[in-house]
Amino acid sequence: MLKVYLVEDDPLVSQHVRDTLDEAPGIRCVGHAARLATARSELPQCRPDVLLSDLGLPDGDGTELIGELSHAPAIDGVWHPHILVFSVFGDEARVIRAIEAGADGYFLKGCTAEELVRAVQQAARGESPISPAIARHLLKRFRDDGWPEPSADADEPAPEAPSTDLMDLELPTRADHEVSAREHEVLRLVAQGYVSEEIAERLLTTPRAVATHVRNVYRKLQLGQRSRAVEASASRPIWA
Amino acid sequence: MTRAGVRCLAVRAALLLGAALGLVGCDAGPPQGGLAQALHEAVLVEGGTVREQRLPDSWEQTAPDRDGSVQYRLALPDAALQDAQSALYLPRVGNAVRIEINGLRLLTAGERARQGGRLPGAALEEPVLVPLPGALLRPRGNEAVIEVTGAPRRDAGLSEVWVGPLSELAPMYRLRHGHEVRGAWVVAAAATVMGALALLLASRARRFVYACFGAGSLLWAWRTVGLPPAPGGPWEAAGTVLYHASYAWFVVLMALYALAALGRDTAARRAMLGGWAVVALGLALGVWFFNAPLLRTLLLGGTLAIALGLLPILLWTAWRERSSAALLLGAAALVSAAVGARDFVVFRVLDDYGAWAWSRYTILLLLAVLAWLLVDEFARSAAALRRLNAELQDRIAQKERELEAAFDDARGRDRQQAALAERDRILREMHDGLGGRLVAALALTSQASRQAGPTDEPPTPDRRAADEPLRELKLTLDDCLVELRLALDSLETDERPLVEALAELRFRVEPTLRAAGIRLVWEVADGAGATALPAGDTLHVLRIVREALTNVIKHAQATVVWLRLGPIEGSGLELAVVDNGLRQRAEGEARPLFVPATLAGGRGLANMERRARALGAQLDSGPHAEGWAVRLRLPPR
Repeated sequence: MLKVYLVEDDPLVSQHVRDTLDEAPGIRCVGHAARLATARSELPQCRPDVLLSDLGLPDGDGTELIGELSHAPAIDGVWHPHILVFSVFGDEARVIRAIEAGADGYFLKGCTAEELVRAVQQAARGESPISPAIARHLLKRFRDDGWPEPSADADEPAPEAPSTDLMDLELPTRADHEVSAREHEVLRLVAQGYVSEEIAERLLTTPRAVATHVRNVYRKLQLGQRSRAVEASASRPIWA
Repeated sequence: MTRAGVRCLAVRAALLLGAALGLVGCDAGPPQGGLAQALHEAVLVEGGTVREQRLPDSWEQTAPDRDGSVQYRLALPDAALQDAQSALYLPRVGNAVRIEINGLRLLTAGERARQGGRLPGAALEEPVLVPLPGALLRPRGNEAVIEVTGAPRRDAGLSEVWVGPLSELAPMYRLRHGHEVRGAWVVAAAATVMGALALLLASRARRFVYACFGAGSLLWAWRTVGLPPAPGGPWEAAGTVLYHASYAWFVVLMALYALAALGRDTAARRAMLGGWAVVALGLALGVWFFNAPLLRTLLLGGTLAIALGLLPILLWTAWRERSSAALLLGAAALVSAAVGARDFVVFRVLDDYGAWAWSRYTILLLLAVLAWLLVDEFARSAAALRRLNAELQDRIAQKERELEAAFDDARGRDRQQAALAERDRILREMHDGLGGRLVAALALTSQASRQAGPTDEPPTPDRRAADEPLRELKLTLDDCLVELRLALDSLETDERPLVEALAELRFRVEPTLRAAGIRLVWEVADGAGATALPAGDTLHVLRIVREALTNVIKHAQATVVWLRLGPIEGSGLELAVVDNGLRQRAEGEARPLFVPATLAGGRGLANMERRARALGAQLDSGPHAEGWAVRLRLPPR
């Protein structure tokens, strides 16, 4: 049984989501919070597999909660939810910040019940939803940040690592957060409107692998963000 | 330096040389074929002794220690006295003279009265012309007695004596007088003015080179007219020593000037010149104390050697640099050294007491060079200043342009920033307000349909009828969300590839299509990927596609819709939305005939056409083999 926890302050939307999820076979909504504080206190007990979180909440930004969950030491060493951001639209910058903070993807509010169930199931499988707008923003971001052009020998996607790797406090190396050529290509195709099935067809692989690529890109984004933060704190003089 | 510049300089140097040669030409004798003669034989009567003496007679050479008067007796040749008015002309005599003809005193010049063995008055430095009254002359055997009074160290002596018609001798006298008196004063005046000017310049501009020139020039001015110094007292000694040293010092100062002006004044050369100035002073003192003509010859010869030694340096520099300064200085030095050598030979080697001293005029050459160099330097610095000014103005103008550009950039950035901020604000407003409410409304419709009954029951016709408005509402709300999204995207300030805009549209409408059982086939040609449109145009295209897709969902009964984007032959892009509705209609259940006109009644086809016109694109909408096709041809960008 897939346990889902919902953080959403709009009662209508949250009601709809809960009903939709509960109707779906194999999914159960184990909790719901309208405020971050509630979520913080309830999450350790609920230990959901998937966390659906809105970003704009009355007592703060959902990104904070995501960051805390991703960076805090794992509770009992293993629990870490797949986090999906719940967003309206035209909000790519906020979504990317959430992904950097540790979110695994996002889906649009107002999508159909089927889409919602599909997104949750995908997230639970470790796949990360992506949209053309997000892909476009990521490509632009990598370009602006001066990330090196992906090289051919970095073609192979990184071996799928357990998500608990995110909890490692070791310094990530540069190669760990450089996008490979294949990942770059996936992002480019997403930005051009292809869905994962079509991308898989074009790249002679499976939709699942495409989803893994996307997830690796997200992971690298998180690592890059974290190493930047570490660099920033390391370069800060001792008296500052 | 350009060829023309070299030629110009050569002309200038030639002019200078010509001027110098003109001065040389001034040393003219009597007209050819005249009666005038120069007398070189005389009988010298000194005390009791009588002896032959050849003229000119420079006491410095023949009797350096003589202090007093001697008589020169000259027999005047009869041939020279044929003219009605004859005259006696003495080009140079010193220090005082008394002339008798046939025992009759004709003229006393200079001061012959003696006080304590010294000549009190100024010594004579002018030529003497004595008209001979016809009554005094005998038919033959005329004798002139010239009594010369002199003192040691005072350049006493007698030049050759001319006798002949006054008409021939007078021009020679005037010329000589002009040289000795007027020439000296002209030279002195010019040298004083330029020297003062140069010193002024040196003090104002802090230029050592002009100080050298000024000092040398003033020294020369004094030397030219300040002599002989008044006899008696300590000033006579000081003046005489200075007089002898001044020639050497003048040359040293001018050499320093020339070297400094050309940047060739090494420390060694300066030390050598300074050393010679000191040696010259010693020699001048020696001349005064020992009354030794040899020391004076040494002094003058050494100075000449200095000048000659300077010459190769200047000429070499002139050859190497070909600068006007070096050429002019080289030429001036060449002429000066030649003139100095000539004077040295004439006065010190040939002992010609009556010869012309040309050296004094060399200062004019140097003055001309200095004047030219000053004017040249002034003109150059003025030109440099103008150039600098122009350059500065150019740079200022360029900086202004850069600043303006930077300001424009900053303004543009600010504007863009402001636009972005405004967009973000609107986005946030819509997102948090309108968007959230639309989503809530969508959720509400879901709730409503859920409450109407579980979906897994087979719907009754009544149920379907009851659900219809709800589904319409849902679609409409969904539409609202998409419209909102499109509108927000159109606020984007920079261009983005059309294909990416379409991609986002697809992401948004795909679930709706899927829910309607329609598969969207995405066919984007690789070449079409880069085409970008302005945000407003992109919105038009997206609305057209959206309209077309909505029509497919609502009316076409299609199962597949193709979205094709690709370049058309020639140029431009074609965007096509094609469905398979006709085939479906043919195979499936009969539905009311697809009538585009009903669409056109609302926001349908007419809207699409209006937007296409705004884009400058061509819109074709019509049936094809399998269904309905909407084609949009975008003009090339």
